[in-house]
Amino acid sequence: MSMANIDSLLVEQAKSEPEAFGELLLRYQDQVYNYLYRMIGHREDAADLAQEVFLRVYKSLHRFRAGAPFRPWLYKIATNVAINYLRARRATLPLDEEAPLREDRFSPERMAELRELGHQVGQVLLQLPEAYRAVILMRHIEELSYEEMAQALDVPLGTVKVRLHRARLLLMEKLRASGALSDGNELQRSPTTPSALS
Amino acid sequence: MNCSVAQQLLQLYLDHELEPVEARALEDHVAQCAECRGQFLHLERSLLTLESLPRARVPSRVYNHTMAQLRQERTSSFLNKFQRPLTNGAITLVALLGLLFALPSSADLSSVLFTLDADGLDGMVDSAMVLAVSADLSFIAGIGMLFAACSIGLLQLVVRHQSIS
Repeated sequence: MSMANIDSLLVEQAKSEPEAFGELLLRYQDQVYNYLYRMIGHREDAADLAQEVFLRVYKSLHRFRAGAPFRPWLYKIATNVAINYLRARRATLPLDEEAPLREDRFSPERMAELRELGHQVGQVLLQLPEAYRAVILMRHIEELSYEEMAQALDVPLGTVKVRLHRARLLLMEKLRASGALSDGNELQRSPTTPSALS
Repeated sequence: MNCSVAQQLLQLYLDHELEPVEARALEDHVAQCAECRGQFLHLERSLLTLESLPRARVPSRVYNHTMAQLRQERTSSFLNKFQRPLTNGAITLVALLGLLFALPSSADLSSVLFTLDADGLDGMVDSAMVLAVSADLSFIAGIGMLFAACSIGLLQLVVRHQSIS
């Protein structure tokens, strides 16, 4: 059974029994919380917003077409909630202390490095315009497909790609400026290039 | 391929969206052009850095508070949905019961009253006693229920009017 099918099943069940909604919550709370946290930069408020997102989802379940993809719809609500929050808090927004990390399988030194990196990159993300931040997070952190992003943002696929390309360039500039692009920061992962390019 | 074309294609390359022929052409260009190569590596490194952003742990209150609110939400919406039919049903039932008790007794009552007329004063005293005895508790009960039904109905109207205003 595919992910999308499981979601559809859970959504249908949740329409008549709230406890089934708990399953959806457990499935998606990590994604939604992290997305909100990186969008707004405040961990406590991100938790509040996450609750608001899920409640909105719950209250509008009856309007949700059976079999429609759930994740884009979830991210649409999450993005709206985040943007509303950011607009209301225009001038303010000191960066909160870093949220406790989910991973704890690394050494203390590595954990400290990751926290520092997370802080730097998180700061840079918060410098991006909200629309750019959203696409970067959706694509590279939460790994939505272009199609899902287009549905979540209610824009054509082409717009998503253009926006993402511009967002990446801006991100790159800011990361370079912040010094977060120095060697050894990223976790071990093979680059996309074939050997011809490196 | 020139640099401006190459720069535009770099991102598509990173997304694995280039046709093999285009990809090859880009690779050839980047192998020879230091500037584009630098651009490519920085872009790639940015994405790697970004993708290694550590994930935050979700606070437990997200689940707990959401479920608590959700259950409350469900209870109140259940009450809202069924309140009016339930109350109306209750009123109707009580009113019917009231009539059921009162009507037969009122038949007795009216027959006693007629007897009063026919028998004159003596009869009146007897009839009064009969009335008192068979002053059918059921009649009183019936009237009482009708009264209760009306009160509940009125109360509901008042409450609804207040909650709307």
